[in-house]
Amino acid sequence: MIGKFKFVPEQPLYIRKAVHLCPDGIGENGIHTVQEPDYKEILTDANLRRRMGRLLKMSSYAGLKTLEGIPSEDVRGIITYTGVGLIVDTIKFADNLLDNNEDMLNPSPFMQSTFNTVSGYIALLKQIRAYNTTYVQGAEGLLSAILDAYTLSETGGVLIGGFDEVSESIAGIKSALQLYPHGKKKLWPAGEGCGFMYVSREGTDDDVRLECITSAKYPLAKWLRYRSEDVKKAGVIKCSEFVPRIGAFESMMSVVLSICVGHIDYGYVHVIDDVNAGGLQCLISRKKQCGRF
Amino acid sequence: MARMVGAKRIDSKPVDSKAVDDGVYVIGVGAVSAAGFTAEDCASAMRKGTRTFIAPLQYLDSVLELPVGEVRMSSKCLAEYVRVSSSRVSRTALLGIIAAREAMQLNPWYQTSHNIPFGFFSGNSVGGMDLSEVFWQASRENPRGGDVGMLRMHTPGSVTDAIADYLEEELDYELALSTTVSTACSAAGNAIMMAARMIQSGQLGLALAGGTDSLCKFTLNGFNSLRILDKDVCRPFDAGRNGLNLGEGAGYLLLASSYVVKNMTRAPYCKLTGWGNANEAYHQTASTPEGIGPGLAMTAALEKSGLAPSDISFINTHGTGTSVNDLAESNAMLRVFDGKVPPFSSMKSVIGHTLGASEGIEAALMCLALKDNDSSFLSTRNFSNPIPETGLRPYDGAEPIDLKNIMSSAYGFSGNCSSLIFSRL
Repeated sequence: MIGKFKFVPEQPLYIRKAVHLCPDGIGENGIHTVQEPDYKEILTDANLRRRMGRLLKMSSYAGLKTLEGIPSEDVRGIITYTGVGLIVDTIKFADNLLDNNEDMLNPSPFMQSTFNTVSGYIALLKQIRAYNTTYVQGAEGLLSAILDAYTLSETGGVLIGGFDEVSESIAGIKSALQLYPHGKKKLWPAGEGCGFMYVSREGTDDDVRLECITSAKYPLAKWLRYRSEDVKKAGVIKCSEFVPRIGAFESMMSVVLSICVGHIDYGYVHVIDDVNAGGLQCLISRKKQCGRF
Repeated sequence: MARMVGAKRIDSKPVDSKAVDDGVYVIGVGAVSAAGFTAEDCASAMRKGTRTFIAPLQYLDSVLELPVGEVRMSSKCLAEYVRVSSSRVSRTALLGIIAAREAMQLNPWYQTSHNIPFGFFSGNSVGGMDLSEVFWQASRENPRGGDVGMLRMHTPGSVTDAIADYLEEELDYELALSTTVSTACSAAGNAIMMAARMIQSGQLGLALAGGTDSLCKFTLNGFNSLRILDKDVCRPFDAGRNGLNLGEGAGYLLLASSYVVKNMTRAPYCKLTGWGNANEAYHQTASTPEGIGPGLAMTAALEKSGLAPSDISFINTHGTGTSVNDLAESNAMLRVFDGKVPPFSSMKSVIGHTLGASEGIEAALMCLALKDNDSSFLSTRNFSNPIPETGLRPYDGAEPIDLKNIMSSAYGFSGNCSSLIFSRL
């Protein structure tokens, strides 16, 4: 829950790199699921790949891909956030428990059901013994992760990531709970994905900057009017625009931010999560035209 | 309304020459566990010398015959106790509300009228799994049966929301933000650490931090499938230790900036001076025999506090009673303290391992001990022979300790290690 808390980093906070995995529309199974990449080049251990659940593989892959080319000793922390975590393994273990009447259970899904499994795996695979934590506060977890990363260190950088998964039964439960309502009695379909960013207080004007992050309920537009002319011209991107492609999920802001970071040429972009009940909004900018577009 | 404060500028010196006190003080504590319904209850039960509160399952419906540290009240009675009427509120949230209510030893009027930005940081691992299990069981019997609304409190975040609502609606505080840390058994430690950093960086003036967790079939069976549960009362640091006992409860600290403390009439409990977080990067559920991760967390906490290892007068260990943890933790202590390990103890044989709540409950009790310089309830129960590899004997309570600085640690799945240091004022 966020009251009127608005975070405006006094010193610039740069998003140095961003990587995401997300669905591309509705798949053959009728839900928004990620087309999994070939993990081999990043997750090299075949035995490990077999043991890892689908979301664990996707998010470890995205996290490691983000850290590619960054010396591990520069990484001051790994911070993840998630809405419902590794829910497929959680339900698998709960089902086994009922099927077998609490006897002779396979511990693997239990071990992978804890919310910090992803941050732990990335640390393990990259041998990063630095600060490591996980927030489970729906869409708002991203604010905690960014606050945490900003106050963690003035040097080096921090890996931040969001992840969530969907299956047919999870999509069914989410719709029964009416988690993503919009318009009159309509629901957004559940989706999935993961987005990772490497953020740092060290950066240049070539990097994207995070200017402000707060609850989507906060009247940021009013606040923006007091800022410079450039800010007034900020393009507005809403998470709901991405729902047809990636579906709705708690950590979708991490994916949308990552997409925006890849596409912002110059100036300001105002990203709003209008899908989740506790959605956030943030303002990002690029001060120098990158000329890629 | 919460004040919007940017992070303190670190590159520039403070304008006035007076040193800025960015200390983090503990001004309230609250705890509920198998030993009692308040922090003082828990401490006095241990002070009386009660050997253990670990007993056969009474309230949780499970076929497993394992001893646990259960809070002695059904969820229904807990709800009545805190006057929450909905049947869709998880036991985890109810326990959290009891501890949070006790820890809020500050007038809500003072907080709101002075616009003191107040944050809530709750560590939690199971969320509302107790309610999810009710739904799963019902929907198994009848695919269309069961109240799907029971899943609304499935995630740790929604449990935190329920406690946050209670703080705002029943107790009249106003939260600037509230969030949930879920790093398995070190969750409360990491929540306290994050809260302290938010106060130190000037973002918040006040923070309630700790953790809550309740017993459920899911975790009981999970730990059972890993074969690390003792069928008897656990024996932390004993040569014959044979696993852990699960427990439940909640514990929170009310942390405040020096500015808030200056305007209080009552003396704070103690100061939170050090904290450290590290990931062992070794194995998902096990620790290196030499305890690399725990050692890194302890060292980081010492560095943060500016204290020397010899300044630590007592260590509240994670000490779960598993073969792997206690050896790793002992080796880490031997290394960090260069062979001269201060008196140390584990509460796990009294109240069990309360997972995401453990550091919350235990830190609350450490703050009580520091406030009155009272070590009378800190001895380790159920210990007889030291681990042959280390020869370390936990504190037996025979001689009182002059408590100056207490280190308290918690380690969790996925290599998450946390260490805190509290100092007497």
